[in-house]
Amino acid sequence: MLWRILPILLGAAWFWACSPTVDEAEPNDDLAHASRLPANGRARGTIGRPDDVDWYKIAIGRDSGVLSLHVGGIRDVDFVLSFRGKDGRELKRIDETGVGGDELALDLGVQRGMYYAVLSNKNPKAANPTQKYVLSSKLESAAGRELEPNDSALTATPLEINSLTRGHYYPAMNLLSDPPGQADEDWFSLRSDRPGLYTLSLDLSAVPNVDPVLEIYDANNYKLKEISAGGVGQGLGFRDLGIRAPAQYFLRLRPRSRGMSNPDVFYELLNELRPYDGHTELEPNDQRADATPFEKDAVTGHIAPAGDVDWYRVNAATSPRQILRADLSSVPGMQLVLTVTDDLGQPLLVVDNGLKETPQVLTGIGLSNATYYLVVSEKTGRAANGRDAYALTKTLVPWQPGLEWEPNDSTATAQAVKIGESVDGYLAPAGDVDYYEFNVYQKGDILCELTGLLNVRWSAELFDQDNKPVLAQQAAKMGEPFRFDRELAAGTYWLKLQGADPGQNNVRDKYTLRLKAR
Amino acid sequence: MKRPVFLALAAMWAGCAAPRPQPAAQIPPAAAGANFELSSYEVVGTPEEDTLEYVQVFLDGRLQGRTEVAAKSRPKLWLGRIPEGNHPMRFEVWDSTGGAPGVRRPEELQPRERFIRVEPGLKTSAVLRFSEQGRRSLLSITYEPRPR
Repeated sequence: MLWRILPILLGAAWFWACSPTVDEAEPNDDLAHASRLPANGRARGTIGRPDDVDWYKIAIGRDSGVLSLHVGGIRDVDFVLSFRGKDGRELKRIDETGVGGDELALDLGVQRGMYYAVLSNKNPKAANPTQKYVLSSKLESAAGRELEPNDSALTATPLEINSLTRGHYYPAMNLLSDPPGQADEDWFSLRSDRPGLYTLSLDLSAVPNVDPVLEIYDANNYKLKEISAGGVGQGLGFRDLGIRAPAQYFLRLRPRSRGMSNPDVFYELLNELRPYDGHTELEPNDQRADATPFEKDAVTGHIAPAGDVDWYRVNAATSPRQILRADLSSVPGMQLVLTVTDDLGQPLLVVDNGLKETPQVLTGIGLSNATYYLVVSEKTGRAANGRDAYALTKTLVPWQPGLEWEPNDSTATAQAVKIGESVDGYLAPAGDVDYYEFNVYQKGDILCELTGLLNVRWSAELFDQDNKPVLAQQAAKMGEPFRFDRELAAGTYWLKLQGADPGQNNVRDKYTLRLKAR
Repeated sequence: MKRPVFLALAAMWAGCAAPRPQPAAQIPPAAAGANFELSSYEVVGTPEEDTLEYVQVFLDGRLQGRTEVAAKSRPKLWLGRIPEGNHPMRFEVWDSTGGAPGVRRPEELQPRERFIRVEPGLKTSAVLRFSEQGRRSLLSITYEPRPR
């Protein structure tokens, strides 16, 4: 393998060794007297006195490129490397090391024309007028690269859609910021001109020593999302930001704290813009007003960043009575919770089986002529997973007599059932309580029968219309059917059904309740 | 000759320009010695939803009377004399435009029939509250001594 790449390595070494080297021509203390530095070359010079300043002009002969500059440290001298534009305006200032240290400027975006590199010394006691420093310059293609300075939205590097962009968390400090010395940050702009609805996903590679934070802003500079990796040396991912094109967005990438930098390892930022197909969430959907329309049968989403909450709008306005069923898949390391709310965002039902990495099943809730919301959240609020998606599926079926109508968790929402009829329902999610209301028109024996449910030991209570308890019984064992027979006077009654333990529930099997008069 | 024509035109103009009278609240006569009072109202979201309605009262499946026609949000009363005992009562909601008999709401929006006990010497008050665009109804019953 090595023999195959050996010629390439030798060629690169030869190129580097043979890149043109020039000597500074003093006096080169200002723009007008700047010495020449080839765009791919080296310059040798000296710091003759502590306040010596050496200007180099770099002619860029291509339409665009990325320039890097490096000066090797010499004894006594504390270099400051400054990069300047055509008019001498300072674009970037690097001072990452102390006396004797190298300085490095990376990812400098250039266009055809003249630029300047300026070397100065910060050590007033420097006395090394003879040792030569070497300032080297390297020009590369700008394709897929960050273009410094990109320290603000105004100077953001345009991202090519559906492509990879490389950059560095470097320098550690922005010496030209206001106030100076803030952590260096890289801004990118993303523009989609073709009208339509899209989803944007981002993946950022890991870089040693850096804990990255990625923020997304709209064209009005409103922050839409902040995603953090959650640790040093970790990458991050973000999925399915909803974009209504034409639109422009900005990404701000920064390390979590100022001292974090890495000049040796690229970060790689991959963006993916896809036409919205209705099968994914549209971030931000963190609140009711921004809910993703849930029009297809299934949708995928991510809980990222930590604490993310995803709202989905279910429109049931076309039919008077429907039953909504939903399944929420599990995600590694997460304890997901599914909540159903009314059109004002008030919770109607919370599906939480209390277990990590298990699916949540909404066995059914009655919807009538209105808008409802399904809300996916993570119980701890601390876990985030930008790579593994959850899947949320739903079915809407017309309600018909004989089916349970949730919510029926209280006497106020009890479901009416007639003597002689039966109801099929679920005792789910965990903690579910089902109330049924029935009228006895003539005094007589009423028989109540319940089929057995796996994992449930039935507990039943009967209340009369004055809310006085008439009966309270439990099934003999878990999974066994249950029945009682009681003489009841004419009146209205409420039957309360639940598991003997609130954790007992069954999302898989229906129970059947039958009421008979004898 | 011209004056009567002018007066007639003025009268017509005045008749057209004056605000149209709202339909008078049709309050059924209260039964003598009433021992049951129904008060029904609805929580509405906007003034546009606050249309007219009334409620019919059924006892053992027989119509007993109805409330006045009034805006949904306004409590509408019916007073009646009910035999003492425990009776299945049903309250039927009808949407009205003021004049026509009205339109009965769909069955799924009607409150369910319930037994209400009428105690001797007590006045039974039933408050029927609708919300969520009529999808939800809540019936509460209270008792108070009846003046002799």
